[in-house]
Parts: sequence; C-alpha cells; structure tokens
Amino acid sequence: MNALLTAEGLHKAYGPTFALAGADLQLYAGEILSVMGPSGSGKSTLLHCAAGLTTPDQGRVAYLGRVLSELDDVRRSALRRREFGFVFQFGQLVPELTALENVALPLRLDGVRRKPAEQRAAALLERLHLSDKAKARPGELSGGQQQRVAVARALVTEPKVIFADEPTGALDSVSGEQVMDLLTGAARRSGAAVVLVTHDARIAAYADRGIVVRDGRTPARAGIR
Amino acid sequence: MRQLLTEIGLGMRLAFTGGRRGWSRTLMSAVGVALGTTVLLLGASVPSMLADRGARLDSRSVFNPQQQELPPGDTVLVAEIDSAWQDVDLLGVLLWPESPAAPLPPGIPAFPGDGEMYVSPALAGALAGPGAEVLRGQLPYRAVGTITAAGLAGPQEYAYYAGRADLTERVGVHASRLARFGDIPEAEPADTSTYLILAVLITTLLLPVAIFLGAALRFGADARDRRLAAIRLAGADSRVTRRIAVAESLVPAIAGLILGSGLFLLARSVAGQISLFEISVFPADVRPVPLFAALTVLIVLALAAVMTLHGLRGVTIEPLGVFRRSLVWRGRLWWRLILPVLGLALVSPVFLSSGRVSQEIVMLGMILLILGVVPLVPYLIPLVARISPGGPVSWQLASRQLRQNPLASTRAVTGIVVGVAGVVALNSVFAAINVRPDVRDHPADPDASIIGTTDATPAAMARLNTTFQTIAGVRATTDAEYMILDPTTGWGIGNVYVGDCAALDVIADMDGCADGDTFTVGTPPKKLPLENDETINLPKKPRPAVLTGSFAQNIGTAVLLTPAATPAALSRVTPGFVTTRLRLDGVTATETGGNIRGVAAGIDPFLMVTVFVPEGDKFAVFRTALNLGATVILLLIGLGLLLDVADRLHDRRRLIGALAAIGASRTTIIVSSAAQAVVPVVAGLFLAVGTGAIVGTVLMRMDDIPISFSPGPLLTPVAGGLALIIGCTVAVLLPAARRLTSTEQLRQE
Amino acid sequence: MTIATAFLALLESRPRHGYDLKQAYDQHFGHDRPLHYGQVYTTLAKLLRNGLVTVDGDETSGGPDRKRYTVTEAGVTDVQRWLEEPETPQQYLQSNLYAKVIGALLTGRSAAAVLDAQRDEHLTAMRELTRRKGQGDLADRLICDHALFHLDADLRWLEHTAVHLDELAEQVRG
Ligand SMILES: Nc1ncnc2c1ncn2[C@@H]1O[C@H](COP(=O)(O)OP(=O)(O)OP(=O)(O)O)[C@@H](O)[C@H]1O
Ligand SMILES: [Mg+2]
Repeated sequence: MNALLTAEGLHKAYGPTFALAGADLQLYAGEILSVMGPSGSGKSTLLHCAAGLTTPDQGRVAYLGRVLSELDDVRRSALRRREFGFVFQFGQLVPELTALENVALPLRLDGVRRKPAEQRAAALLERLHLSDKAKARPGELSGGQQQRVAVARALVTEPKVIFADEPTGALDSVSGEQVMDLLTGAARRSGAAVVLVTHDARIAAYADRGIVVRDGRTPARAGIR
Repeated sequence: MRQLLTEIGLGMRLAFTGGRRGWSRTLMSAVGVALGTTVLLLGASVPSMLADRGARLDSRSVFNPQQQELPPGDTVLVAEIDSAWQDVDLLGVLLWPESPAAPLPPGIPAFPGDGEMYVSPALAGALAGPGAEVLRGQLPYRAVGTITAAGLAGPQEYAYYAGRADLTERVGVHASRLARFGDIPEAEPADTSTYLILAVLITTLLLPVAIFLGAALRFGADARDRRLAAIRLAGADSRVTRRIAVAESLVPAIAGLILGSGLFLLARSVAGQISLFEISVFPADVRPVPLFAALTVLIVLALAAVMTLHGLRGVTIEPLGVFRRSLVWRGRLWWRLILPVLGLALVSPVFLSSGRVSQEIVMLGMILLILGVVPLVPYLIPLVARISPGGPVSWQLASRQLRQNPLASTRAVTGIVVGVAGVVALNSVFAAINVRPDVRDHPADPDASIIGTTDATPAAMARLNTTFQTIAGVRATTDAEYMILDPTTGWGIGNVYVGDCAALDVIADMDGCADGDTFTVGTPPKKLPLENDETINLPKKPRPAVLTGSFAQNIGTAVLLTPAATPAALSRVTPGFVTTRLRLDGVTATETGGNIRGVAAGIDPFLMVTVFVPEGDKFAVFRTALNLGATVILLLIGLGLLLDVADRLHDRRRLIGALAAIGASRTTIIVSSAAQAVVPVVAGLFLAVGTGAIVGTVLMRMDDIPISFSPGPLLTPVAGGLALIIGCTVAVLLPAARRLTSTEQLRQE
Repeated sequence: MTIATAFLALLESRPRHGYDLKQAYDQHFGHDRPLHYGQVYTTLAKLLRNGLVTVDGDETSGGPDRKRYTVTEAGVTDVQRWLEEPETPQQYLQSNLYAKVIGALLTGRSAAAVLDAQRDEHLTAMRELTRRKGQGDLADRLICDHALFHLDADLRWLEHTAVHLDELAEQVRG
C-alpha cells in the first residue's frame, strides 16, 4: 500500500534552535497516526511541515506524489481547503462568524453557494450535537463546544487528511474524550486519515499507530543490545 | 466571478460582526470617508462654479471698445460704479435706454425708471439691516424689484441696476452706449494656476482626513489580522485574504460615500449664504463635474483599499498566525529631512531676495514644511523616550514600548501635529495683523481720497471740503494736480499742486505756509509747460519743500502753489486730478466709510472714493473659518486618538491583566499608558510650534507685516491640542483601567 | 474483594437462586473470568456454614440451582464492613518494570530500549482498550477507563524515567 503523505528527513531551525533535525512521517489512507513526544520536541513543527503550513529547511513532504514545497500559495491553499482539515488546540475559529458560518467557511471559500454550504454545515453540527449552538459565536461557546465546531469545520469538506494538534489540550478528560470520539468516529466513517499530535497517551490510544518525536527526530526503535 | 462576490460578501459580513468594537471602527471610518468625500465633491464642483459665475459675468459685461463710434439707435446708455459697503464690493450699473427696443441687461424684467433701481437680494438685505440710512446715501434711488440670479455673480453680491435720465449728459465721459450686453467677455478665464492652487488646497484638506481614516481603519487591525489568519487556515490563499480585507474596508468606504454625498448636498444648500473672498455661489452652481464625481468615488474606494493594503504591509498573514516582519526600526534621519529642507529652500526667497517672489512656489514650500512634520515625529519620539532610561516601572514600560514601536505610538499624533502647526502659523499671522490693522502704503498718507471732479476753482474746492467735513471726525483738504511736461518730448516730468496751506500740508513738509507762498520740490524749470498748450512762469522766491508719504517716491519734481500765488493762466488748464484727501480723527473707517461714500455719491455718483484703511474686519471671516476648521480637525483627530488609545489598551489587555495579576498597581498601569500617549504628543507639539512659527513668519513677510509673535495665539492651539490628548487619554484610561486590571482579562477570548 | 463478599452484596439487593447468582456475578464482577459452577457451590456452602446466608423453606432437598438463598443479619454486616474499609493503595515501587530498568542499567544494556519496548506494549494495550471501550456499554467503558488511567500512569512514569536515565545509570554503577 502506498502512503498518502510522506515526509522525509525534515529539518527546520528557528534561528539557533533546531525544531526538527531529521524527522520522518508516513501516513496511509484512512489511518489514525499519533505523534507523541516531550514538550518542545518538535511535534507541532512536524505537523505544520506535513500540512504545508511551514516550509522545512531540508527534506521533502509529498502528498499523493505532489511535493508541497513546490506548490505555490494558491495551490497549497486549495489543498488546505479541499484535502486537509485542521483542529488545533485553540484559535482556529473566526471569532466574528457564527458556529454555522465557521463550519461553512471552507466550502464558501471553495466557491460553494451559501445555501448548500450552510446546509452541509448544519448537518455536521447536528452530528456533533451542536445544532442548538449554530447561531452562537465562538466566544459564547465552551472550550469543548468550540473544539467540536472546529472538528465539524475540519470535516465539512470531506478531507483526506485531518491534522489535529493537541485537539483536547485545553479540555478536561470527559470533554476531551467526547471530542476524540466524535473526531475519530467521523474520520473513520468518511475514511479520512488523521495526524494526531498529543502528549497524552490516552488520546494517542485513539490512534491505530504511533510515532515518537524526540529532539526533532523520529528515531526507529533501537534493540535491547 | 461568483467566487469574487463570495469573498467580497464575506469581507463585508466581517465588517458588520465585530461586535461593539467592530461597529465603532466601521462608523469612524465611514465618518472619515464622508468628510473626504464632501471635500472632494466640493472640489469637483469648482469648475462648474467658476464656469457658471464666469458665464453670468460675461453675459452682463458692459465693455464695448467701440463705444465712441456707436450711433444712438436701439441702444442703452450704461455706466458702472464700483463702490463698497462695509468693505464688500458694491457694484452699481446706471442705465438709460435710448429706445423701447434697447437691450435689457440679464437679471431684471424691465428698465428701471429715472430714480428707480433693482437691487440684488444681498443688497436688499443690507438696506434692511443696520446702518441702512448711511448706505442709502450712496443709493439715491427707489428700489422697485430684485435682480434675479442671471444678473448676479453670486447670491451674496451687492449690486444694483438704477435708471438715470441724466446719463445722456455723460456719454463718452462716464457712460457708454451699448447695443448689446455681454459683447465682450470680461470674466478672466480660470488659468492652470487656479487649478493648481485648488489641487494643493484639496490635498491639504484631505490630509487630516486621510490620517484619520488611516487611524480608523487600523483600529482593531490586530484582531482583523488574527481573523484573517484563521480564514487562511481554512484554505484562503494570500490574495483571497487580501481581497477579503479590502472588501471589509469597502463597507465604511461605501457608507462614507453615501454620508459624504449627503453632507455635500447639505453644504450645497447652505452655499448660497456663504461668501468667501467676496465670491459666493448659487446652490445650483455647485454641480460636480460628472467625470470628477466619478473620480471622487474611485479615489475614495481606492483610498480605503490602499490604506488597508498599506496596513497589511509588513504583516505576513499565515495560516499559523500573523507575523510582523518586525519592520526593523531604522531611525534614519536623512530622508525625514528631505521635505522640511525642500520646504525651507522654497520659502527662502522670501527672506533672502528683495525682489518679487513667486507666490505659488512659496505656498508649495509652506505646505511642504507642514507636511514635513509627519515623518519627523516618529524620529523624535525614541529620542525623548531615551532621555531618561531609568525611573519607575511605569516609565520603564512606557519608554520601552515607545522606543520599540514609535510608528504605532505616533500614527494618531501626526495629525494633531500637522493641524496645530497650520493653526499656529495662521493664528500668529492674524495676531500680527491685529497689531497693525493699518494697511496704508505710508503712515503719512491720508485715510481716504476722493477723485473725479474737474472743477479746480478755490470756491469749488472749499465746497468739497465743507461737504465732507459735515461727517463727524473727518478733516478734508482738496488739491488740484497739473502735469508739467517736457517741452521737447511732451512727457510728464513733474506736477503742479494747487491748494490752500492745509491741503499742501497734507502732501508736503514746508517751513511755514501762508497764502501767496510757492514751494518747489527738486529743481523745476523757470517756465512750466502744461497741458492745453499753456505755459506758466514759476512764481518768484519759491521756497524748498519735501513731499511726504507715498508721493515722495513717485514724483521727480513738483511745484506747490497756494491760491494767491496761482497765475491766472492756470485756470485755462484742465487739471489731471482734483483730489480731496480725508483724515479721520477719533473715528474709524468702519464707522464712517459708508458716510463718506454716501456724501460723495450725493455730490456726483461718479466720484471715485478710495479708503486706504479697512472699513471692516476683513479677517473676521477667516478667523471664524480657521477656528471652525481647526476645531473640526482637532475633534476628528481627537476621535482618532481615542480609538487609538482604546485599541492599544485592548490589544494589550491580556498583558495588562497579567501585570495586574502579578501585583502591578492600577496607578502604575495608568501612568504607564498615559505616558505612552502623552510623550509623543508633547514631542510632536514642540515640532508643531517650531514649524508653525516658521510658516507664520513667511506669511508675515509675504504680506509685509512686521514680524512679531505674541504667546497667546501661538500657545492657544498647543494648549488645545494638549488638552485634547489628556482629555482623551483620561476618558479612555480611567474606565478602562478598572476593567483591564481585573484578572478576568486573562481568560482566552 | 472476594467472591463471597460479592455474593453477599448481590443477595442483599434481593434473594436469588444459585443460577441467578452466577449470572448476576458474571455480569457485574466477572468480566474476564466467568465463575465455574463448582466455585458457586463451594462459596455458597461456606457462607451457609458461617451463617451469613440461609436457604428458603423446604426446598433443602434439590441441587443449589433449585434453592433460594437469602442474606442474614451477619451477612449484611459483612457487606457493610467491606464497603467501609478503604482499599490500601497499591505500591509499585518494586514493580517488575523498575526491576527491569535497573537490570538493564546494571548489565550495561539499553534501559531506554527497555522503556521504549514497554511503551509500545502499553500503547498497544491502551489502543485495544480504547477500541473495546468504543463498542461496550457504560459499565464496560468505565472498566476500560480504569485500566486506561492506570496504563496512562505507567506511561507517564516511563516518560519521566526516560528523562532521568543518565542520572540513574550513574547512581546504579557508581
Ligand atoms: N515560530 C517559532 N519561532 C521560534 N522558535 C520556534 C517556533 N516554533 C517552534 N519553535 C521552537 O521549536 C522547538 C519545537 O517546537 P514545537 O512547537 O514543534 O514543539 P512541540 O513538540 O509541539 O511542543 P509542545 O508539546 O509544547 O507543543 C521548540 O524549541 C520551540 O521553541
Ligand atoms: Mg505543540
């Protein structure tokens, strides 16, 4: 089976600090992959590089054979819009738009008319038990509700890959579990692959497979010599 | 295409959904745009105003170069009388038709009968207003109707058309015969320099508006940038993001256009009541030229877009967030000095050369000087902040912020500085004018003069004196002036003045005078060739005298004769001028100017009255306009400042909340924020006063006003600006501090 | 908790037949290991002998499936005592895992690899539990959660120890 997304030998430095120093990542269609590691080890940077949000200094990221760093901003944006979905710890919702409009946003940016876009958004909100909050602004939602809206937005374009960076980082274990159940459930149903960055093993346990980032590297396991 | 509409719709949607802050941002920007639109639309109407006015002036023109040759027929006799009422020009047109088919001037329905007149609405108002009896002295006619717009230059023009049968006796002298009105256009065509000045004026007016607009559009920019980053994460590329941002700014732009058009209509409807530089316009004249109106719309939309894009300059909006390409603050001085140095160079001729200087260039220089303040302010602020690096925590916080980001701290302040500099300049000029309201060429000159009669007999001259002296406080002397000709070339080489001792005393300094004396200035020949082929002998034993006042400069040689010394032959010579010179004693021209003109008109409507001192406070209207304008501009800028302070507090509310949480007292936070607002202003105001003083000096030099500065007018605008800042800062800070210092702010929004 | 205490708790809710008891036990307490019938009879016999349960009426003749058991006063007291007494927290200080780490360090093998292998093992177990949790009812979920939290705690210990391995190695060898 061919990988959906491959990242090889990624290096990334911010000034003198190395965030990535040779990290690899392979993501297969439909799988849920956890990325674990200590704080500051480079998990987020790896995810950003894999999603084309950051360009690595070295190494390449290929999505279905397309090298992300060779795509221009317009194509990368289109990729973000159609093929990728994002759930971050916070801050990814537009505070001025209602929950419904936030969920419909990627569709609208992709040229879908308002009516059908919002219908699809409403259906997703329903699935995430948020129908009664469709008209609320992110500021009026609890952290867990905001994350569920974010999940709905990540799913609305039926993406191939969902990138989630500490999606439950700010939530208690019950709401976190709820968000994870909804996220992984929906992803499995639609066949989307998920890159799940977390340092919480219980969250990582939702994945099918896991990798560990240490000091910017994703070392293969050494034997007990 | 639909995609573009979606983006625009999304952008506009965002303009409406920012909550209270979003709304106030949209509203403020709309007000700024509205003011700009009004100015631009008024500017766009200037060509039509000038054209309409010119067309009306042309159509009533009485100029006829062939007046002598024209035989009587279907013709009308006309004479124009240029007078004034309270320092405003008063145009009189005397008419007498020579046939029932005589041409009627525009604006009146029929010829006024003998002793009747049609008056302009403004003159009718003056005739009903205070001092009307005095004014009536100039207008010995009965008003039978009003002149309609077609016959007037503008609604505020003082004008009358009067019928006078005795014009028949004046043909060729004062009156001319006319077969048609408006034969020869007399309005001066507007030249390029008029439009140049207009362009500069509009630019100057637009500058504070643009600065305000910039402040208003940047209000909440940080929140906007974060929002755009979130949209970018959802899959918008950077061009789309920019388009959305521009679309967002279109909402205030469009609202402003609508509001501005409303303001324009309002301004237009009151236009008829306002007169500037003695020019007034009918509301109907204020029509924007369609091309320019379209340009206005384009300019406003473009301005909003450009301001938005300019605000996004140096900011990279990435899906992961907003990166300020920390515009490395290069406090380079040299390019900031270009404008002021250029400005100084352009105004320098005023100080260095004694010859004529080009008004346009000097004006450009002054504008450059005032504009040059803008880039200098950000340079000054880190300097000021560096004065004291130590100090309490509050100052440490403030000075760090000021040094790191002087641009952000100054964007609202530059407007105040420019405004204050301009007001300081003009105010000091007006103050200087107030010190010496006298605008005579020379202090020894009389206050007023009347010329126009040709009867030079001593009796007639004495009669003139007594007639004018019926006005309280007026001392009148009359002299007759004859030209001495060069026998070979026939050109004038000097003058003979005839008058009693009092009259001669007004124009010359003599060592005593009695009737029968003769005085000479320079060395006139023994025989004096005069006009009408007469020659008179210089009387015996002339004594030397010196001409005084502005005469002294013009005349080479002169002979002053008292009546008893006048040779009989002189009575056969036509005098060049018979001049009655008036001195005011204990009264002002404002009080008596009208009486003098009235008395003169009573003697002969064609007497020419010149008053050398102001008959009214010419600058009153300017001062009002300036004060009004300054107030509006300062208010506008104050509003911008308010937004700015509020915005910066809002942006840093988490930081402030954290500071409060670790125990910073409310006073520390208030003092620190206040210092950040006040320091740039104080620095800027210093600059403003300096620039204002320079420009004021230039203006005084140009108008030949002795240069003087009094602290009042200089410091009042400064105090106003300062009060504004402190008021705004306090108004925002005090209530905000309570909210902000609660640790509530730490909550993620 | 013993099978006997569980039976007493079940009988306190209502009297039951032996078969009934086994079913209820398997449902609430058994999970991985259902009871053998033999265990049921011996436990019930012991409870009868100690006077903690009684058998109803004259049905003493037939097999245990046909008999109805009721809890006695003494039995209820027993249940009460069980619930009142807190469990002693388990101390894992000398757990096998720690022993392995020390062993690796003592023998100069890679303790990090030991930890990594254990991480993988734990994570695999956690994934399995998470999967099962998604399919079961609330009781299953809570049971799984209990295990998950424990495994999570182990994992944290693993991560924490990994950071201090060098320090620990020096102490062990030094
Ligand atoms: N924009 C940035 N500028 C400078 N340094 C950065 C930036 N982003 C990340 N780094 C650095 O790169 C390293 C890796 O950061 P990264 O955010 O990828 O870690 P992480 O594994 O996601 O940590 P955490 O679990 O705390 O989120 C860190 O040392 C961090 O300081
Ligand atoms: Mg991270």
